[in-house]
Amino acid sequence: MFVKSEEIQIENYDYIIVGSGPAGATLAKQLINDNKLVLMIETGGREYDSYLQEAYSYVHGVGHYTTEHWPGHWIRALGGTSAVWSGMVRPLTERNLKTWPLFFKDLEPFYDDASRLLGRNPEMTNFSRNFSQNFKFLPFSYEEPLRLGSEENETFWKTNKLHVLLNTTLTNLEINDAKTLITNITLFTASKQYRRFKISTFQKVILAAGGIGNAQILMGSAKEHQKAIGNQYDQVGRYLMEHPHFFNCAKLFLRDPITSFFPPKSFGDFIPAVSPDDDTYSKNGSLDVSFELEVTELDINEPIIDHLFKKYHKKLSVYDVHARSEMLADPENRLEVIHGRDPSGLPRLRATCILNAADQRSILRNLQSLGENVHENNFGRLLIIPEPIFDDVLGGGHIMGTTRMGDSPKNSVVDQNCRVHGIVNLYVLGSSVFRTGGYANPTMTIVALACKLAEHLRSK
Amino acid sequence: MNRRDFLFMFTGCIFGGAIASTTGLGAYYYLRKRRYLMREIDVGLDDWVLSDTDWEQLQSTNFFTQETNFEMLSDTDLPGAGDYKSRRLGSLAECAMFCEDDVDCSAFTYAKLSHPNKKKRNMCWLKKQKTPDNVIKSLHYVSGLKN
Repeated sequence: MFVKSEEIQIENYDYIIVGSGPAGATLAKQLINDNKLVLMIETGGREYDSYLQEAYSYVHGVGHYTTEHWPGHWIRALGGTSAVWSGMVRPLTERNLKTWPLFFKDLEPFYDDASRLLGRNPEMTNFSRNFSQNFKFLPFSYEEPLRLGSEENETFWKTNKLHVLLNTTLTNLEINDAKTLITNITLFTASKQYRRFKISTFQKVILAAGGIGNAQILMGSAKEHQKAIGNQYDQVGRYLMEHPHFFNCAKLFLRDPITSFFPPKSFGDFIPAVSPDDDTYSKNGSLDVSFELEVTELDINEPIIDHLFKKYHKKLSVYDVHARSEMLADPENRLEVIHGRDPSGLPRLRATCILNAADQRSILRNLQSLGENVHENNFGRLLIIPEPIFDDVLGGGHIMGTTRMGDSPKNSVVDQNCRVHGIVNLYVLGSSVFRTGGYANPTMTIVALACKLAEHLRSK
Repeated sequence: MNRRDFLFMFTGCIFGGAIASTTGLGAYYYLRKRRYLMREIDVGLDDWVLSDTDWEQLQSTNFFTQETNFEMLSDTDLPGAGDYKSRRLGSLAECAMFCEDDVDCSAFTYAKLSHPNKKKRNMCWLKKQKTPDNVIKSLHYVSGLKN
């Protein structure tokens, strides 16, 4: 239910969640099922407001992703970025989680929960077919995206145990001298007032404000004599990662259509895609990639095509290849505080996100491997089109790594339970905790981590 | 226009902008992709991932013609030799035909698909000189002297 900041009794809440997107909403849903009282804080209102969006989500973008890029995926409205996500669902895999302080098997049961919460068949998580000697057919589930702010989800927001403060922003966290406990929070309310509230040991604050928002809140807590909370070793905001997308980076010409690899009907709607096996992935630089195969017409007039395929009297199957890939976790790609503040007083940020040569080289190497696979058995031929990999870098709208998970505060911000190192009552949720990006759209993993955190909080 | 009308128009624009920006976000990536497809794809032989057999076969069939009206000179360039007309053509055979059909043409040179300069690939030059002054060995060209 929607409440007003003047009316709330802060001491009644077991949990305070900042952000109403897939991360925060999934966590809230689980917690209220355990009969806990949850306060949720959302900067935006019920509906998208472009003025508010521009004022609060401005980020100065430098590198391969510019200023126009970031705000589009940091939506300030009820339901957060679920308002614009594409609906593509895939989990991270064992090789993606290698450097994380948790294992795929720790996450697996929560991936099943996430599937259901996103309206997908949990069996699709494990679907895989051999496509060629070194590539697997791993499609993306692609159904109607969950839109948390839509009318369908009205009843969720109206539940008694969830109190939502709209048009309210968390602008400050205060910590005790020993740096073990959040003691106070300050909210910038709907009536443009600052209200400071005391937080007890038994209350937990969870930041679920997005890849940029989570880092912004932590960095904004820096004072004259006090480093930003969770940032003694300058890790907050670092390791910023996107998912570089390169459309039309190759054309695949096959003798037979790829329909024989398609999953069963129970999988649901999907986007066909192939990915290298573990050996090829390691050989080509250990950065994950997925090549979407989109059916297309033969539209290049090349004498070579007549020559290569003249033996095949029936029509060729032609596919445009689109790459979705993983960026290196580079500490120099980061969010930094710059001059100026948003209307609530939180600091404005610069996002420096530059692809490394290794990121782009890995695509070329994996395309080469795919090409060699297909000509080996006369399966077909691959034509690589390098320009998009260098001139047309796009992103998925996935903001990861800025409050990364790890064993030590020296190289991370949160532990395997998403708790900020050393602080008893502060957690961070969302793609900002990802230690690596893989290539998969982050939503499924965000929802799974929220379910896992709920389980962890339940057990305390 | 009075103040109230102006206010309505202003609010309408804001609403429109808000709707456009939310739906536009989905269209954004689709539009970027379409724009690329409309661009002419500029590719060369080396962009294909080919097997050794593919390459050998291409060398022996794609760049030679059965034309009997010409003395074919493989891996040969005839620079200058009275160049008077040039055109990009799909194949060696078309270039030979182009010269054959032109009464002024005594010789031609055709740049192969493998030429490192994209602007020169598949270019066909018609030449006036009956006996060319310069005959240069080059992997990137095939020439023909009209019989």
